[in-house]
Amino acid sequence: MPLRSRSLRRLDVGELIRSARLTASLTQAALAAAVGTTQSAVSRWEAGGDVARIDTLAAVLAACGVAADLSFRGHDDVDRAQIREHLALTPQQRLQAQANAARWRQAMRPVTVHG
Amino acid sequence: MTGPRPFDPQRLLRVLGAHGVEHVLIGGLAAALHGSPTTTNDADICPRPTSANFTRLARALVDLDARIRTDGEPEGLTFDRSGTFLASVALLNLVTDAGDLDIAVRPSGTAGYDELVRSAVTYELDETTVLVASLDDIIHSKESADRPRDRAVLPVLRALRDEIS
Repeated sequence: MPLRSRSLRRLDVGELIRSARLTASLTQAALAAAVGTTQSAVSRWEAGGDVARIDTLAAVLAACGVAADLSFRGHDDVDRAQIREHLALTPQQRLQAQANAARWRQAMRPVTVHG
Repeated sequence: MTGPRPFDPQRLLRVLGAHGVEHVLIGGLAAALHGSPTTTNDADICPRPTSANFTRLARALVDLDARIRTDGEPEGLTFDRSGTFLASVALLNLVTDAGDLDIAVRPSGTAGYDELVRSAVTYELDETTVLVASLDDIIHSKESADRPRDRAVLPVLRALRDEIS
């Protein structure tokens, strides 16, 4: 699984480390040696018993030859500009917008294609 | 009533207000009043469940020529528009001469009027004043209902909450 595809919300650090290690075809012992720790420490990270610090995580991923991007973004595709436009309206105008939309919906008719 | 009438939320709210119906507006129209750009075809209200209020609501429903909304019957079905009847049902889906109106005594995920009114927001409109369920309560109710149409608007409502806070 590509490391970049993981969402922050579901980020499982232990699984991330395990996935990176397997991607690099390293044993836990080999990875431990590469980052100056013990095999049991790597095992605990992967099992979720201990959570690796962010700088340790970066070192582990580097040892596996990969990097992970950590950035924040909204996890939806909501058009916030549209929300701000509506927030700029008065409640009365927002209500009127609903009535207008209802009239437009009712005025719509299915298009019949001839020929 | 002659065929479906366009949704006229201003008239719906005005008539409810004119009859002194104590209610909290919930659902999509409530979200729209908070600033959601989503559109809706109906109004959802949670009435205060008292005998006197159901009587006022019944009078408003007569004014709105409310009928039971049902598939295959665009005009709706007539029903007993009395306070006694309204007090006996928890949920009503109605068609009125100002569009569709849903009445829920205990909307999904809520304990009803007494709970919703505590965090409701008052909006002054041109012709009436309306109590609107808080955005948090609307989101919670939609999360509880968990229908596809509820799930579809939740990202927008959460983004709206982020924008407001």
